[in-house]
Amino acid sequence: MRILVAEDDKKVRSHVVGALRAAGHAVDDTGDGEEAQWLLMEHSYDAAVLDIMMPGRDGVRVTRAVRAAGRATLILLATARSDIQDRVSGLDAGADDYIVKPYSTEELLARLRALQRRAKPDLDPVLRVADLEIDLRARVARRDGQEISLTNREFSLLEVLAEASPRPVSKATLVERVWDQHFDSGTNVLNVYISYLRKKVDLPGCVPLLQTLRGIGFALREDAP
Amino acid sequence: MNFRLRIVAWSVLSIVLIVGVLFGAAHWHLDGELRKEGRDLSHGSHPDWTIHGSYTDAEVQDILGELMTVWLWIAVPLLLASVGVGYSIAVRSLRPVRRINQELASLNSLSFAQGVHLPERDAELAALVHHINDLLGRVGKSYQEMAEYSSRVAHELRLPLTLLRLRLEAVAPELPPEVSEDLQEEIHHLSQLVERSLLMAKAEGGTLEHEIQPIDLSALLEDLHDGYSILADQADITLQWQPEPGLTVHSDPSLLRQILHNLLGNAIRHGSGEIHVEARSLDGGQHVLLEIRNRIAEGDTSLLGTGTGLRLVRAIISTLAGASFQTAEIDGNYIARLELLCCESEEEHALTSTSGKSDEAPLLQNGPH
Repeated sequence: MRILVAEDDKKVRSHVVGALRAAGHAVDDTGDGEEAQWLLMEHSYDAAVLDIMMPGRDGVRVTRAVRAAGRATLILLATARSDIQDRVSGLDAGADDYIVKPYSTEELLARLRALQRRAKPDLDPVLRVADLEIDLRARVARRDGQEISLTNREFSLLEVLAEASPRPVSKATLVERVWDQHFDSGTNVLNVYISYLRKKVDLPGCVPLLQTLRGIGFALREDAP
Repeated sequence: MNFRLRIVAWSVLSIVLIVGVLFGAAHWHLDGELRKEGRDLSHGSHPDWTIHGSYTDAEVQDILGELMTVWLWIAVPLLLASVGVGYSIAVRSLRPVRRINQELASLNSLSFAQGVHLPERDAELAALVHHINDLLGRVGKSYQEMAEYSSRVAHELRLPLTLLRLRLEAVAPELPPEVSEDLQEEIHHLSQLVERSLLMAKAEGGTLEHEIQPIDLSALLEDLHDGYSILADQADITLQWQPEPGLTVHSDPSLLRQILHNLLGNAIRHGSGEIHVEARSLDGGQHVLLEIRNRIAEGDTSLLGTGTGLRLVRAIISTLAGASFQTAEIDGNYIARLELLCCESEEEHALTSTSGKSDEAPLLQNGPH
């Protein structure tokens, strides 16, 4: 995807841009709202990550202007504010989604993927990692053609790992995305679920896909890249 | 002795004293006069002119006895009347004080600024009310400033936390695994702490927004069950999970999750032996009662109010119409009871409740914040 990142904090912007580029996206960036609006009007982007609090023009106003001009760029608003009113005003202005700081790279990428899937419903709903297939629409997973019986939680965990594959996902991101941000479980529950999933996915005789990367998190991939 | 009884006692004693003095004076005067009447009197210049005494000593005693009886007939109803009058005066005098007490009891962090009101003009109480309102105003302002400060700090912290998280993800492969895992976990904890502080500041500062909707509480508890079962197993705790099926409440999904996580997390962290989690319909379907009971681990006093978890629960509950929360410690067991409004009664409650708090009497004593 071609993505515009508009964020006034240089360090955050630099990391977000780096992470998106590492994930294979073409990225432009700016720290100014007016410049962001000009870029979005002048160039064709698939998606934009706009910080709400920016000098020049805030993210909500930029979104409104872009929508008024008839642009269909997918817009993800990023902010340190989580008030319902802020969220509503952003979505009312025409934003497609809203992400609250502090977010992880994987969460940002997952939101962008979800936006892309929503915008293009004809995209293949099946994620594939080696001989593992995950049908997001039917919520069914198959390994080598054999259906795997999974609970809802296990399926969600597999979905997050498959979406990020081959990149690893941190434990904190997995807990936040599969359980919820209020669940203060440490990583105990996650480790137990990973072991459940490993028993179901990495059957004897199959190539192990679910990898533990100590200090980083977990990854679903055939071999380390 | 309370103030009301003291006023009654004062009234009765006053009447008794007045009646006693009057009676004593009358008795003494009559006794003297009658005894004077009982003596023979002779004229100073004509000793043979003599008036013989009218009363004998026995007659005087008899008359005084009669007088005593009459006094007693009058005194008993007079005493009873004085008790009644005294009680009535006490109740009337203390009515404004009772009203001030009620208004003070209904105040919370969101309504300090309202102060208390005194309809009757009473110089003594007006001064008291003025000082109370002055104090409440200062407390409310401090509270508001503290909530705004916490909220501002929490917002400010989100940016560096984002940066920390993104940077750590980028350099994680180069760090020793145990260092990287520790840092990730600490950043996650810090993020949760910031979110909780922000939530608490908003709830206590009166700016917490809700997205109230019907929530299948039974399904929500079922969703939480597997995670807490694992945590309980690891802590060598037996989890007795007994919610009724089909319970639906009217609440904010995210806030309700936060409340349940805090209560269940507290029970696992500070409990021992068995933890009972029960949910059932209450008041003929008006409310749903969620009760969490656990034995308090030996030497653990965290559940008795030193942590922020329960404070956050109380702060959130104080903003949810029709919800209430009580805790108690009975024989080494800690009990947390959460009452939530059922869907069917929400509309009715909205018409009758303006305070955002349950009108019902507390089921258990409130634990310390």
